[in-house]
Amino acid sequence: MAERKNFSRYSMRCGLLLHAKEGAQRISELNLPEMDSRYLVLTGGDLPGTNSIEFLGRTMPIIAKETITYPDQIILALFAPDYESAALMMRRIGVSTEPLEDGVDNTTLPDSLEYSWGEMDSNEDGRYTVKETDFSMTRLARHNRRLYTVTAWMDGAMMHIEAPSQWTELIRNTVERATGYPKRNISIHLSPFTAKHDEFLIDPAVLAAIAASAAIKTGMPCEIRSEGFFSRPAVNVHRRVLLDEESRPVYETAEMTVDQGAFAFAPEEYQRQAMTGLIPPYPLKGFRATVRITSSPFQPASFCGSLGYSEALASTEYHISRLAETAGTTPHLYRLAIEKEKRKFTDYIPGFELSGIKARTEDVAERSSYDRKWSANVFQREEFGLLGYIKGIGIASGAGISGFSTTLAKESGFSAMMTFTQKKNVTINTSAINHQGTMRIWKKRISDRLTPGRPEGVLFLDPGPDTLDSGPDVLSRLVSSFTLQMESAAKRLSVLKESEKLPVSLKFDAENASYPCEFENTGCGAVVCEIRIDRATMIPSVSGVWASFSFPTIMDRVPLENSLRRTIMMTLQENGMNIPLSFHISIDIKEEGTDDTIASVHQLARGLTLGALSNALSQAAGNRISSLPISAEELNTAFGEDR
Amino acid sequence: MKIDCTIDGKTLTLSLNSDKPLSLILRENMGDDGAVNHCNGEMCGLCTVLVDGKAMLSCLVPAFEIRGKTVVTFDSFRKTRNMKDIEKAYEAAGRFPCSECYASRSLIFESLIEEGITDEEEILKELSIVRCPCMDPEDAISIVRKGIEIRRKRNVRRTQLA
Repeated sequence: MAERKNFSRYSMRCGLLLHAKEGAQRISELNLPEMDSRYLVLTGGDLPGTNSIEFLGRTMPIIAKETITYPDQIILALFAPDYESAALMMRRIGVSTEPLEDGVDNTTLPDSLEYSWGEMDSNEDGRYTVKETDFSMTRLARHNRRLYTVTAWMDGAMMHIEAPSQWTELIRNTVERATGYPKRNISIHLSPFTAKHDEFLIDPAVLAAIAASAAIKTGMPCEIRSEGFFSRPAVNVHRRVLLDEESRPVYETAEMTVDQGAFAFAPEEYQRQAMTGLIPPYPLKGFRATVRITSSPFQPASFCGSLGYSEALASTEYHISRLAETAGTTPHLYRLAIEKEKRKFTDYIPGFELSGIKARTEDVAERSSYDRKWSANVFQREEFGLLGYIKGIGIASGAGISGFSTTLAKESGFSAMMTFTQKKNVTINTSAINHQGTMRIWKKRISDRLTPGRPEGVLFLDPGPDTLDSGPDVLSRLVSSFTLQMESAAKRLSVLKESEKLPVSLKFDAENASYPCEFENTGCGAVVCEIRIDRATMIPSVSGVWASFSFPTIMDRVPLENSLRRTIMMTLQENGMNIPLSFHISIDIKEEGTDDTIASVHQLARGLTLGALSNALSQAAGNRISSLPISAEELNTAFGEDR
Repeated sequence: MKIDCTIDGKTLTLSLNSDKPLSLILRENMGDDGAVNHCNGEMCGLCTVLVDGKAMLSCLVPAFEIRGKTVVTFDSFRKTRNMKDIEKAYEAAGRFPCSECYASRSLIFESLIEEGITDEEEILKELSIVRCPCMDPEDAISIVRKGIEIRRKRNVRRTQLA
């Protein structure tokens, strides 16, 4: 990768952003103080090109022009000789706004996604027992307290951008749109970053467009600083199920509503992933599911480690536990009673054997004494008046899915190219080169096939004008489908290099576009979560988490285990749980020994933790708590109503 | 005001506002954007540095506080032998902090190991300044204890050689 040019901080401009305080407003007046030539203000109308960012077919303004759609939207950028001067000058800028009476509706939303099989029964004769459940997750929107900078500078005809990014091609495209600067002359330098909630997917491209515009206008290197932001979408899943006399589900409907905020990003992909999680693992005569995306004047949702699958999987697991309550048995035993050996083949997920998931569930239930604790808690609930606490235990199990959907793979055409050179080296042209650990694994795997014993012979080309767009790096996509695609290309290239004249190149899709279903299942797991609500403080704490996972091939066990632990801990904290000092996660990972690689580890671990946590909360607090995250205040109010 | 201090082994005389936070001095005056965060005192814990060997949140340390003191950031600490001990402790425990809090946690571990603190509550109290949920308390305690053991062994070897 090209080195960053070493320029003095005294010969550059430092930029800060002015954000809106409220959404659905009109900018009525913008008062700028007198500034000398060392300062530069950029508003929506000052960008030389198009004031918008395009992302998977959707667009969003970079800087608000006349209307403010959501809180924290960028109103203007101010560049000064240093950050202190910029901050002082920013205080003197006055913005007057007035509320929009009709609100704003800038986003086009896709139609509801529907999927069904079998004829639904209206239950007119009352043959079946009706059970309805609701699973909700409220919106979370906050700064992640992490400052990051994006720098743009020009060197001759080249525009250089240094940014932390999960999708370098998005930066190049956005800068080209915003500045009119040809994409061939834009060079990206990646700076290190960690993105817990995929907050470095869109924001760096927005900042890069602003910094590049300022660099063109001032003719000096421009740096812009901002705080990372993430917003989790609001999710509601309503299910209605008809149960036979043995409390087995026969017909079921599921309706999922997702509020993605002011602008919908990849809503179609969100619908497909959510639908995959909504389809239950147990057999049904009739099933109908709908996923609807809505918008509201709030911050656009970032992926937050999931594109809908985790939330939908958690809602299914929550639903199964509520059905078990109706049947009067533990969710673990209820699952064994209603599930068959194999899952139904659907358009979204293949009909794989459930023995792996059942083995994981058995393992985790045994280690945590789940059935005993579940029964004890049921009896104990009535004794709450005597005890100083209430306890709950929840279980969730399921399969992981691989990367992005087949439909997205076909539509987007994300690709990469592998070349076997005359010097018997392998070069790879891809925009996805931001994880050193992943690249090490790729090098080793490709080298095994093409340059045995010489991983240094596998080279990733520096990002340049001819770099191929391999898509965004979210949902662990790069260690799932892409690895398989790369291995398959290496296999084909190993044959071609013997028969064709060197150099020989092979262009391949970054995602597998020929799966029979939207997703493949890779790996599975089960999680048990035990919680305790202190009666005096009403603080919900996690007493223990037991997890068991099974993956096809494990390349490096320690980072995988650390990654799973992190996801579980993060999910618990994100949803309002207190982590006591004695807390420990008991985790067990099995290797299946097949050729597939691990996929979307975070999505699976997050979904299962969410499911187990909501089940534990439901057992502890009954139906008083309707959504995650939970707080001591909410619990206090909920229990206070009973007193 | 003029402040004399040592940052990452360099003896400097800085001319800046007396209340400028150390985190911003490191980011803006020293150009250390990567390892040091600035959360404006929101206790993210990701701006930890060693001031005279003690782990501190640099966004809460005003410029006048570092007068005559030695500041070590992770950027220079990562190249030291003490960091090797901490890496060995991570390996021995089989747990690593995530890449976001790696720098901060490593500096706090160094502070604890150097002081030889083994008390569980004290360790967790010190570590609570990092809010990142990537590591459970039991693992953190085991890393500190392993680190102290490794450091002692190294010091004993050094004494014997001398």
